[in-house]
Amino acid sequence: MKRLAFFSPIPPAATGIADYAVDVLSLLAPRYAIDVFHDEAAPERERVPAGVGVFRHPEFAARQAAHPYDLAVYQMGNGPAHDFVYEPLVRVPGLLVLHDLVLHHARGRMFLEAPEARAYARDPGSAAARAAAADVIDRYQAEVAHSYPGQGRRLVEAHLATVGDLLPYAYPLFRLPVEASRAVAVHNAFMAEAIASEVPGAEVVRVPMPMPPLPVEAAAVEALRKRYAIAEDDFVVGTFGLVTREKRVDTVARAVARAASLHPGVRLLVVGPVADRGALDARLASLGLASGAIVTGRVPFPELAAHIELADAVAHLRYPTARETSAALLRVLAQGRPTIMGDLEHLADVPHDAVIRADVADEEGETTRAILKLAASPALRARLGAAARTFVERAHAPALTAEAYASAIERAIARPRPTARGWPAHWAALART
Amino acid sequence: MDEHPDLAALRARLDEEERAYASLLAALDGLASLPVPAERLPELPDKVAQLNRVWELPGPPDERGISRIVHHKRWELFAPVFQRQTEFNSTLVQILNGYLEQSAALHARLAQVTSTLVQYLQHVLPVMDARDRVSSALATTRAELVLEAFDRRQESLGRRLEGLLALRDRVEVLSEEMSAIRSTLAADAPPPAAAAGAAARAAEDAHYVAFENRFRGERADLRERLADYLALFDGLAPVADLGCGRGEFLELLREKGIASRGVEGNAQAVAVCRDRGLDVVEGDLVDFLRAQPAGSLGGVFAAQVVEHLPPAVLQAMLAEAHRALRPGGRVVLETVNTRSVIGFLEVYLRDLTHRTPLHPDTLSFLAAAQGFTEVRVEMRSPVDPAGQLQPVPTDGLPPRAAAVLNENAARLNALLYGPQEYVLIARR
Repeated sequence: MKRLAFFSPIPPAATGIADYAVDVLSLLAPRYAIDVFHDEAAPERERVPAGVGVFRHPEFAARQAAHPYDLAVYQMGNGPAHDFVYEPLVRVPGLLVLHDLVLHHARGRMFLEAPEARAYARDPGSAAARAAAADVIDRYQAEVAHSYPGQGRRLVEAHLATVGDLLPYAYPLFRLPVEASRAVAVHNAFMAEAIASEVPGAEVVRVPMPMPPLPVEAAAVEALRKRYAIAEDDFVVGTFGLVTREKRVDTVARAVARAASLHPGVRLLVVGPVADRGALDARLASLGLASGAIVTGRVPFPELAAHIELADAVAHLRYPTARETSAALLRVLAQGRPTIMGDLEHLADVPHDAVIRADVADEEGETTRAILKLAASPALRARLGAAARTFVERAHAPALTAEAYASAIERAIARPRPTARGWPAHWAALART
Repeated sequence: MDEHPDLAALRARLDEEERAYASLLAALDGLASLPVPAERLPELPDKVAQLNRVWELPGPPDERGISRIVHHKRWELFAPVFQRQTEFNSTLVQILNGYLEQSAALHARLAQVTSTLVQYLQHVLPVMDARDRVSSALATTRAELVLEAFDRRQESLGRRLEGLLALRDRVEVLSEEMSAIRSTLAADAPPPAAAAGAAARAAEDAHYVAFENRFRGERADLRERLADYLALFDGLAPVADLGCGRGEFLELLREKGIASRGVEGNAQAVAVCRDRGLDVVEGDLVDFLRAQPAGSLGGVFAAQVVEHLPPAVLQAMLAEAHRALRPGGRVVLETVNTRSVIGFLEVYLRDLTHRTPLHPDTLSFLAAAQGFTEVRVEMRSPVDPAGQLQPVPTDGLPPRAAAVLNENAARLNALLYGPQEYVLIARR
């Protein structure tokens, strides 16, 4: 049985990729001997399948030296929970599972959050601050310049100074991790094409994200309807997942408010952790949704399916996007919820008959009209829900994921170790260790 | 990228202004260090104290006897003068005391004003900096609003364009089909199936099985390569393997419990399949598909087949596959990647029976044109990097030169040594 070193955030890390990792481990555990390397102070070991070793990532070097693994698998996203993955990724090339195409803001943060870089950002006119931060900024600049030759200084200075967050989306900064890997696995065609285009010769494979439907108990749903005082003729529009600016809850709320002015039973349901509850409440109040909106905050995973069931329709908007395949979207589709989603290029795989697509140039208006259309047509809701469920059953069956992972693992093992190609000095130095 | 000249000029101007500012601040600091009077005239307090002690003239003599009378008379004579002198002294000392007190207060006030002025000037920079940051933030926010609107519009237009292109392709195909039907009706030409049959017969070479053995690899190797495709047909039985050759993929499907049937034009290959107990029809693949009821298949698979078909037959095959598949069914077509030079020269040209070099975009277009959805292409059989152009070592070369050389090498590698095969995957 081949041995895998599996680098990933695991529960309770605050990222959906930790839950994904648990699902994938349960699919791979029967085929491979796996050790998981993580960065959690108190990992929830009980969620990791039996037989899988669980270790803090600094233990990898000794274990690798004592008994080398056949392959290292790296789960890479753009949250801080993945910071620890960069170093082993370069030292021991393996299979890179790239969840987000855009890594720039996360990778940039690893350099720019250093105290000396922060001091320089606060006082960019100070020569002393510049000198103190030179090393860390130069390394960041070298990585940017490797991906975008000739633009390193300009982009780093802009990133240092800007209060906006769109710039990194235009320069996703995935080239170095891809070049340093034997093979790259992604979850959608958009990412596969983008990587193949920017890194010619990269071995890119697609693996479907596993999404089995969750069982739902009618009694649990009924109890929630009572808890949140949802009336029989209310029409609940749900949005699911960690509430961040990218989730466009604000746009959904405005669409709900507009729809509610024509269809008074329309209510908003926000399920997921909220970083700034006060700001959200104030925004909802300003839209006249204070009494009608339901904001649950984080719900335990066993209660998630019942909460999804509360929604008569789901609005799934994302902007800007790291082009990730959204587990939150697949989850609601798997549960057969009629869904309105932003019409984004990387979501082209979702069949047209399974969702209502909102043109991103007018998301608010399109979402408003879609809510009204869905509220008026139980038949349309049923048709969309059934098609959504069928799509996920067909395209995201866990068995497909297991097969695709096995294929990707074998292809990665068969590939030669990548060679440094004009890499920044600190990156090349890591590869030599 | 070089800095914009205007920005460089602004930076130079800023350096100049900051030097002037620092110079003025230093000058002010120098002025602010006013010496207090006690430092400049250290004897002053004692003298003022002495003046306050001695301003009053002595009173009448305090004596007894005759001398008292004499002295008293003399005192009375000069008393008015003494009185005036005392008053003069008193007034003068009071004025002097008042002046000194006022002078000290003014001095303290001046020191306070100067100190506050220095602090004020020192605070100009943080205020300007804060204002500058707010301005920059506002500018960035405004720029991002514009950028977001532009980006959203671009994404929206891109999606609309994709839809329109698919529609255009479909219209073109329908138009061509209509022309063909009109021509057929007008000329009483034979049905397209005859042409399809002729194309498929191109593979009926008695030596083709031997050829495949040599150039496509041994059975075990081929099974291993084809195993990658099994997952694509999970839950999609029955699967039709078009041009199934020696039946390696049919065997894999059978082992996985997926019902399947093959069609092969080469009698020798059909015999090999049947020896292995596989369900294989000898004949033309388009005819085979035509014989399947509409929506009766879950999957259609063809590895290294489509490049053997003339374009018209290929289109007929795709049309029939689309008809025979049920909604949600999948077509998987593996072929030579003619976009890669090595793929074209070393793989495509090696086989005399190859008829149509198929660029991935062309095959994708044809599939989409027949109504297939979720059309995607995945590259296969990459060329070992050891056999590709190698990057130049960066030691001793100017970094820019090395970067350019390596970038060019990477581009050439992509063109010359791109993956040798690709697979088209699409949904009905």
